[in-house]
Amino acid sequence: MFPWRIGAQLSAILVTGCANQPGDTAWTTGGALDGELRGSAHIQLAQQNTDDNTDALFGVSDDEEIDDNDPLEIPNRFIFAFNQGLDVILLKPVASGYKFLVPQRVRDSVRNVLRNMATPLILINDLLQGEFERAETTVARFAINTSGGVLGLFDVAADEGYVYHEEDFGQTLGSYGIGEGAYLVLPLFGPSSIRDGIGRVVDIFLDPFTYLARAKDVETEFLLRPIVNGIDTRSRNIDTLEDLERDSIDFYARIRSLWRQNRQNEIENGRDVGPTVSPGVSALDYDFEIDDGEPSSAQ
Amino acid sequence: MENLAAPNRRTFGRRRVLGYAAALVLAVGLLSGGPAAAKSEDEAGAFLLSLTSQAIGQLTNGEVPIEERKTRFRALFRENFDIAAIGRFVLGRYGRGTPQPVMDDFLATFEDVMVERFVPQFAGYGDTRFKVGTVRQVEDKGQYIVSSAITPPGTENEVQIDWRVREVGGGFKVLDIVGEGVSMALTLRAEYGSVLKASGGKVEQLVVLLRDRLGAQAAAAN
Repeated sequence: MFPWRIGAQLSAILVTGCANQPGDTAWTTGGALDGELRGSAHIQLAQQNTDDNTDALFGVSDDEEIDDNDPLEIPNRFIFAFNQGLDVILLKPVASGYKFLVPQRVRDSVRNVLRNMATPLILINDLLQGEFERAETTVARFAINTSGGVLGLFDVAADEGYVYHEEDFGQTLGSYGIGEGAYLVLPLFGPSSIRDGIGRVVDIFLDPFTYLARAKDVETEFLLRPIVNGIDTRSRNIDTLEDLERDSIDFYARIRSLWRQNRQNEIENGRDVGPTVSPGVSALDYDFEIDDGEPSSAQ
Repeated sequence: MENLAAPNRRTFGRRRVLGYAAALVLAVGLLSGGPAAAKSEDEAGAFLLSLTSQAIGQLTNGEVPIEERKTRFRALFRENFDIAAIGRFVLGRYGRGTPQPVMDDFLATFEDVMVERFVPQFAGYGDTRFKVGTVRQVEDKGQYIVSSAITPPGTENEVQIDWRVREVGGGFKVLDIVGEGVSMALTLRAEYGSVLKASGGKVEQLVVLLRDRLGAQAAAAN
């Protein structure tokens, strides 16, 4: 119902990490700002800065913020507010209760089973994207986790280097070079786009479980899986999302930007294709939570 | 995972960390006051290692009073981040032509926002694993992208963080932090841009909103 995964991933920005060896190295910069830049190339940069044009420094085009590609902003904001309200009264309390009552190991197994069940869909999209190495990983994970991982309860494949990744048809369309169309906030599902909204529908038809559920007349499976998935994901991002919202002055715009950047990174499978995208990143699902100020026991 | 060995990348071994830091201290000592020498990828990597190790050493101990940690963060931030460039960038086109007093006010407020944003995040992260990976030079801009990976406590997941670092006055300053492809500067620019658009491009109004939010955070913390 929200960009849960985005929240987790943003926390990557917010937490600047820690080294194994906290050194005492006293290293200081020259302390100079633009005015003291030396060398012809740098003088050019300094001149740009006096013109208030810092965009080149960040490797982005000048009109980045002009086009939010959000022609549906008014209805989108309305649905966003609706989703937030629903989160406050329903999803967050349920997810918090789930996190509080159910032990971590059990919750991890729930997620592992959900991920294992998503294998066919991920595999189809891996193949549609021509990502054969990732398809191989998907197949290996399924084989290892279904057998050694006891029907997917344990993610033993990750220990052997076959790390989980997600794929969906929206990403597949993106990998074909199809743009997002326009930003779109979906009721319940949260941030999306025209392209990714269509992708969601196609995924329903691509997923063998859809047909299995229909054949066995088990409509509950059809609904149960996304519900459990939503609760599980939300429970893993409670602190992160609170943290994201706390200092925001336009939460809608913040989420829109985060979602868009994250989505682009997922489509590129973390490859370095743009100026602000990380090199060598794989689009893994990093679920971790921000520590809310507990003193470290290691200190 | 891509790990292509591009010609202008250097890979850091963790054991070389202290060696680089020491070499850097020496290099800075030798070069201070002299003409700026071309900085290598290695030095950009060493800068980041030094910065993060200082941050860990100074900011992760939750037993140090929060006000003291804020003071330490502010000092590190001013010294190691190009606040003026970041500030102008996040304002985008709305920042152009802004009178200097308004800009100064915004930059001071922005610094406060960063302090409140980051300082609480460090507490409890003392045993996070951090390593620097590859360093790439950005073409013709005196800039480097330093890749790093952090493993937060209690997880085995590495989170990829890239640092956009710029040569300034014989040293380096951070321009942007990119976590899993999500840029802090771009995100803030999008958010501030939306607010500025709604307020007719008045930076003063943005400052008021940021101040209000800081006040609300302080009230909530008490």
